[in-house]
Amino acid sequence: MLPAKGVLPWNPEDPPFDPCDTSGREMLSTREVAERFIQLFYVEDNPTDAFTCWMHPDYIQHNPNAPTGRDATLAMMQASMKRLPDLTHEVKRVVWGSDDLVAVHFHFMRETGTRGHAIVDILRVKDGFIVEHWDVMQEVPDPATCKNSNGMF
Amino acid sequence: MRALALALILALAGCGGTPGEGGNGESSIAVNTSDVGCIRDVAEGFKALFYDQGKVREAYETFVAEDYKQHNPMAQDGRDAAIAFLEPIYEDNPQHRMTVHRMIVEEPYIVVHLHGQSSPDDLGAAAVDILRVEDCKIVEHWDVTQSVPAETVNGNGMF
Repeated sequence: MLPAKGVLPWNPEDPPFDPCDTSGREMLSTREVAERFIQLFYVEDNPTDAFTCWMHPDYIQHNPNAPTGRDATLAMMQASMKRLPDLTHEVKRVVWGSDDLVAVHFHFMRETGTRGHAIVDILRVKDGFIVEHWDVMQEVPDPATCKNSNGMF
Repeated sequence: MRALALALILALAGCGGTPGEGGNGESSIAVNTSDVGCIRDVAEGFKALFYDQGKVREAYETFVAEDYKQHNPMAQDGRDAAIAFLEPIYEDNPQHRMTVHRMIVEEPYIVVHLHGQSSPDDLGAAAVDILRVEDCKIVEHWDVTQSVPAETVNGNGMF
């Protein structure tokens, strides 16, 4: 879904790049690859194009509940989105490393009106592909149980 | 249950450290070369004192602002609240350890991907801490914590 204004350093409603243009991918920086993936996957909730365009077919998966490799993970996500058509990813902040890593902190909601999960994805980019993925996820608790009023984001 | 207990400790603590253990040759710090100023020093200094050495008070008093903003839902705002919570964990369990697997640093954020364990054979929990730095102090903290399962679908492990 669209993140709050200013979270991403481009206009996600009208990105200044074609997010699925992979021509010359080897010339793209880590940041440029990540920007395109973020636009497709989190902003547009479009895992099919995000994975087809930017995930390496043999990318290494560290999510303990997902298979390794692009096609197997994409099939799992497509099944989820079919079952949960309102599933959304709302990016809260991105930390762009200069090297090969990017971290995306986002709010994942399977269904509208639920508290959802806080997730950090860490992506490793090489030669124009995302080649490795780690994540950590935690349920957002009931605000009444929280020790501060700041929220998880 | 131990993993869950640790996850809870991590969640309560916001982040963690380990006395004399943790930190290893696998750690890498990717620092944006456009960064100037002190964020790299804060990242390296806080990693060494807090995550690697578990020197809670010294790490927090050196690098964390007194009124830092806490987003861990189970912790209160402020540096003193964090120290008061963390110090007993280290005093009560000398085996408590944190291993930093990777860091991403870019103004104004430090991202730390770590493994917390209550003992060397504890499956423990994976966590990501995000620290915001302003005027060379950590002023805000977010984290996400998840228990490490005994088995994974892909066999790759969480780190």
